[in-house]
Amino acid sequence: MRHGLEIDGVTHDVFLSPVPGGFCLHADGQETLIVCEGETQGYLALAIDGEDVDIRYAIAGEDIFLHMDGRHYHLKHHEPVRRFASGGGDEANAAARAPMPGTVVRLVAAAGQTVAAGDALLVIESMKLETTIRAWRDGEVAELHVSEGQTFERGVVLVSLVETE
Amino acid sequence: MTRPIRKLLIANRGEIAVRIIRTAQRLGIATVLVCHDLDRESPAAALANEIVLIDGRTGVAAYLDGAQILSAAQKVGADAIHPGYGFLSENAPFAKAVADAGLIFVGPTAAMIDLMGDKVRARAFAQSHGVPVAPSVIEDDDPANFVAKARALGAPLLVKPSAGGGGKGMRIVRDMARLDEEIAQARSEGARYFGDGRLYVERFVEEPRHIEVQVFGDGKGHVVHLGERECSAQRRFQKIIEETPSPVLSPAMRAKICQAAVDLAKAANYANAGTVEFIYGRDAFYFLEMNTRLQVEHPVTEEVTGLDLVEWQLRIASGEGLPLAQDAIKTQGHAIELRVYAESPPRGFLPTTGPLLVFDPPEGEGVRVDSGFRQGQRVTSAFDPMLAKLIVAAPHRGAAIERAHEALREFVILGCETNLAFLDTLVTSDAFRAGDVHTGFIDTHPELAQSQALEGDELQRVLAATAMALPALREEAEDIPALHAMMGGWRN
Repeated sequence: MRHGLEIDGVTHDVFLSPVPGGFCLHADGQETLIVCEGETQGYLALAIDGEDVDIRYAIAGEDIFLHMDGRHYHLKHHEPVRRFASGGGDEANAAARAPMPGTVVRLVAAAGQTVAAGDALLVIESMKLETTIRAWRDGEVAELHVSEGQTFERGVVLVSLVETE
Repeated sequence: MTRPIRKLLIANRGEIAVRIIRTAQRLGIATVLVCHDLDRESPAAALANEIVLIDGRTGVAAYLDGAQILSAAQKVGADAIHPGYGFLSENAPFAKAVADAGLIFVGPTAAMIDLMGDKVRARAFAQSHGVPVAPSVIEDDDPANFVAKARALGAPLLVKPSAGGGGKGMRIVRDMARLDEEIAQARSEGARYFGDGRLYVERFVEEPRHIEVQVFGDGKGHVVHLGERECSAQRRFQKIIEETPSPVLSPAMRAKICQAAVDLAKAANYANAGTVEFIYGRDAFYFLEMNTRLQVEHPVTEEVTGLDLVEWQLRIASGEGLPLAQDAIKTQGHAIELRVYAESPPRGFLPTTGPLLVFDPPEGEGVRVDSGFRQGQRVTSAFDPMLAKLIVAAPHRGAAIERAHEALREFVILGCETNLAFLDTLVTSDAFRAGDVHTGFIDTHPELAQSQALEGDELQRVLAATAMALPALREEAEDIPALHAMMGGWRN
C-alpha cells in the first residue's frame, strides 16, 4: 500500500517493505535502507543507509512533526491508495482500487502500454488532494477502468496490470 | 529607611513571571501571581506560592487592569508589586496608585515613568543634561516652520510620532521631495495609533546599531551601569537577538556610552532598573529613549556580570540601596540571547499557533532557557508569541555563536512552527559572525527567512524517518511477508 507523505506542498508516494534486519523505504523511485536500532514512544534511533540518526517525533491526526539532524520538519500523512488482487487471487493480474471517493484528474498511461514499477498510470483527486497512481511493478496496463473527469466511489477498480513475459 | 518585602505580587505572566518568582523565592519572599484563566496551567502558576484569578474581556485586558490587580494585592496582603515588562510596567498612573495605596512599586517613581514615556520630553531632558541626541526638530505648534526646519537638517531623515513606540508610524525619508507627504502620513498614523499627531524628525543614521546600557539607581543620586547590550538584530523594529558586549564598540566608545547613560540616570535621580537606549553609527551615538523597567534581554547582562537583576530590583525597592559600587561590577565573557517565537519566518514572520506536543529545551554548560511554556500547553493567539529566550554564554563571542548554533539545533519543539531554524541561519551568518548586523539588516535580507527546499538525501531521510514513525506503514511492512518476498525478487 502506498501512503502519501506531504512536505512543503509536495506529496510523495511511499511504502515500507521488510528486508532482512530492517526495512526498505520506497519513495520517488528510490530505495532507502532503514535499520531500527531502538525506539520508545516519540523517539527513534535509526540507521538510514548506514548513517545513525536520533529522531524525535509527534503525531497529531494526519500531522507528523519531526526533529532530526538538528532541524524540524512538518509532514502530512495521506490515506494510502489501497490495492487489492482483482478476484481469484491471481497475483499476476492485480488492480488498484480507489481508497476513497474521488475524481479522475487525468489518465497518464493507456491500455496495452508497457510500464515499469513506479511509472505514473493516472492521477486522481480525493478530498482536494491529488494522488498519482503508479505501477506497483513491471507489467502491461490491462485496462484503465475509469475515464478523465469521472467520479468514483471507494473500492472501485481504477487500473489493472498484467504481467509481461 | 528600609521596608522589607515579605510578600510580592507579580503583575505579569509567562517567562518573566517565572523569572521573578524564582528570585523572590530564593530570597525567602512569598509570591502571589495574578493569573487569567487562560494561564492557570502555566509553569508560573504552578511555581507561585499563591495565585489570584483575574478576569477581563480578553487575557491581555485582565493583565492591564491596574485597579483589579492592586485590589488583589491588598486583599492578599502583599507589600510590593513587580510589574515585569510590558503590561503595566511603564504605566505611570498604576505606579502612582500602588504607591498611594502604601505598597512598593518595584520600579522607578510614577513621575520618572511619565517623563521617560514621552519621547519629546525625554529627549529634551537628555539634551539639557549633555547626553548626545541626534540633530532634530521637535514639533511645535507651527507646522509650516516645522517642515522648513526639518528640511534644513538634510537627508536622510527619520520621522516619528512623538508618542510612538514599536516602530509604528516611523518613516525614513531619503528623498527630500517626499518630505511633506511623509510627514502628513506619519502625523495621521500617530493620531490613529497613539491619539497624538505630534511628530519629531531627526537625522537618520544609515545602518544604525541599537546599543543600550543597563543602569540601576537608588533614587538618591547614586547610579551604576552594568555594561551595554547590542540589540541590532531586529525585524520590523523588534529585537530577536541581543548580546553583550557589543561587537562594534571600541573600549573607549563603550566607556563613553555607558557614562552618558549614567549621567542621564543621575540627572533624573533615577530609582531601580532602567535601560538607556542609543542609536550608534559612524562613531557617533545618540540618545533614543529610556525604558523604565526590566528588559526582556536582561539575562545577557546577568550572564556576563554574574548578578541577578531581579534581586537588585527587589533590594533597591526595599530601600537597601545599590548592592554594588561601580568598581565592584565586573564583566566576563560573551552572552547572546535568541528569542524563540511561535511564528513562520518564510511567511513574513506571521504568528503561528498549535499544541506543544513536545517542548524540550536544550541544557548544558553556558546554556540557559527562560520560558513560560511547558510541554502539553497550547500556543494561542491570546498572548505574545514568544515561546522562550535561549541564552548562551561562553568565554568569547565566537564560542558563544557556536554554543547558540548547537543549542538551537538541540531545542525540540513539535506541534507548532517556530523561528528556530531562522535564528540558526541568522546567528551563523557571515554578517552576524563579522558583527555587521545593523537594525535594517534582516528586513533588507528576506532570503535569510526563506526555508531551503527539501531535496536529495535529506528528503529521503525525512521520508524514511516519517515512514518509520507511522504505525500504519510499519504494520503493513511487517504483516505482508508474501509481498516482501515478491519485492525482494524485483530488486535482485
